Amino acid sequence: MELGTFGAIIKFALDIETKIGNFYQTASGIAKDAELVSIFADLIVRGQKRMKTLERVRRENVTEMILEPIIGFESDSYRIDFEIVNDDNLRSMATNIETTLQKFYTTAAIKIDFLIEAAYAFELLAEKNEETIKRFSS
Amino acid sequence: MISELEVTIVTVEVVKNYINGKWVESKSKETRDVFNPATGEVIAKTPMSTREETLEAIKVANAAFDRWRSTPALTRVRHLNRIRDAFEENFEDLVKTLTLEQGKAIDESRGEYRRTIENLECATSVPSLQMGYNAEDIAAGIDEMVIKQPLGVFFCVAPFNFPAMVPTWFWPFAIGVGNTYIVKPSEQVPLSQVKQFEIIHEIGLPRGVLNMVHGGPEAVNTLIESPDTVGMSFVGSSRVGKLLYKKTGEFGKRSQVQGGAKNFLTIMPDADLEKTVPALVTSFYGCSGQRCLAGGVLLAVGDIYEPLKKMIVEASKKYTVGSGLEEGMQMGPLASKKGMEIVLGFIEKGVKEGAELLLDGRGVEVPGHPNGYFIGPTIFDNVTRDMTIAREEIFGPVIPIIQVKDLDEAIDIIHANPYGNASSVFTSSGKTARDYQYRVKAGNIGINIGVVAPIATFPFSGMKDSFLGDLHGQGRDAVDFFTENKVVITRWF
Repeated sequence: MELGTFGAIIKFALDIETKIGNFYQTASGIAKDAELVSIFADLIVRGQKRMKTLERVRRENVTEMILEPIIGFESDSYRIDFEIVNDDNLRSMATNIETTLQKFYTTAAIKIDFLIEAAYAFELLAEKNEETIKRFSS
Repeated sequence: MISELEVTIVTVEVVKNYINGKWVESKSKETRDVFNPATGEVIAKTPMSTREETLEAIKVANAAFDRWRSTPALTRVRHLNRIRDAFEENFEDLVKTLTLEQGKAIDESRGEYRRTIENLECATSVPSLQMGYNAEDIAAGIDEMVIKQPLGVFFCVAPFNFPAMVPTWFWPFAIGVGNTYIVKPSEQVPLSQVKQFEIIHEIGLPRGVLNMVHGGPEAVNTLIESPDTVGMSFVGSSRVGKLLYKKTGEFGKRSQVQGGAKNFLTIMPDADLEKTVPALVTSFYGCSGQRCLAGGVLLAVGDIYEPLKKMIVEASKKYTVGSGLEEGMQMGPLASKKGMEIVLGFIEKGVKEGAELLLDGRGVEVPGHPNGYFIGPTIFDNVTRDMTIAREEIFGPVIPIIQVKDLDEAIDIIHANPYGNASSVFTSSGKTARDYQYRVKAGNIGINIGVVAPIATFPFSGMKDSFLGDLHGQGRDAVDFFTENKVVITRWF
């Protein structure tokens, strides 16, 4: 699906953050590794904050003169597999999720660079994903 | 996708007036249906309030004036701050109501409410903006000063295309400086104002400061004729605007009248088309072309004509049309069946007068919405300056393209049109841009901007038949419109 408007990008981000929140909720109940459980707990809280951030960005950054179409941004490039096969692959799944999100927000920030505040918010979200990736790999 | 049924709307069949801090049922038996333009369903009814009901609103607004004007300015604007915060808290609910009754895409409704809130934010600067000025010793021992005083009861007559935002070009500034106010919403789309007033009611503005009367000509004539009102702000058609401007003059009232438009967008041969085309499609198709800042005619200068035409057709084909409540949808329906029929009439005329239809938006199908008032992106080529679609305001998603040889010819066409609301040039040349803003007779000029929408701190300008009056809505102009400069000359013996 083409993410052809600012609203479509935010909608996609909200949807994917909701799914990721559900994933971490489920994963935290399955994981045996205490460190992983702790990280997932942090990410559940982070997810709620991110939803609020995205809603605020949507509320505050749309004005009529900047509803110009966005070209060349497809949601298909950011598909995530949420199916948990067993608890052994939770870390790698979570890393994949964070990597995909990091790429999504980085690209989104470039695509909406005409909305400085929104672009900045997306850059910060991408940075947080990067930090989480490091947490998973340490 | 959000179902229309999921949207919380005021469920009363006939919307109520808001007078003296209370919701009041109109006694009028005459009502007008309010439609969901995406489905054609009736969702509410607007009462055509009587002369007596309108006079009651004027009476309570007048009675509230003295106490309100003597309320300290900072206290007055605290109310505006509270309203602003409440609008922010109820943002998505307000936005959905707007799309439900007006049809525009949900993102466009969000954009409209952002502007609404920005007007409230700007009006909280009134304690500074309302300050007068003074000079000592204009003669020996004599000082002189100007005090900007409120005047009394003002009112607005609002349009159907921006039913949430346009009243806030006016009333936050009017009550901010100490006047009292009456909003007369468009009878076609009253629900956004009802929703706003429900929130305002909860905030608890002093009674009578801000009132709302629904209705038609009887309510408007009463507001103008009453000796207890001092001024009118109108946004709507130039035809009605001219009549009301004349009438307010006869009754000695202040008025500012924002009328129709035919906005010419000039594309120079050195324009950056990759960046220009997205701005152009938004200008012509945004709000389904139903805004006074919408593109009206595309003037393609010289060699840019062929590549521009090709790119704009391609971009238009990708423009999505559907229910405004569907996230990511770019264009909703026209706001009314009548409006849709008028636009279809213009398209017919374009064909009959010999323009070539490059893209035909008639008969566009939107699944699940067989009765919606939809017209898809429409493009005419080989348009000449004398054709109806090149001269008159279409108020729909139609792009007439005229090829011109140079900037002088473009400006000649622009100046031959009676309107002067907005005009834009797309160019990489600073000299051309400067020339354009200097010469073109339009109130809002865009340089590489498709929708020249002034923010709340600037006046929403307009010239020629697009604006009658001298002080505009928004910003400092609004403060000046809603105050009188009282001069005081002082000598102490």
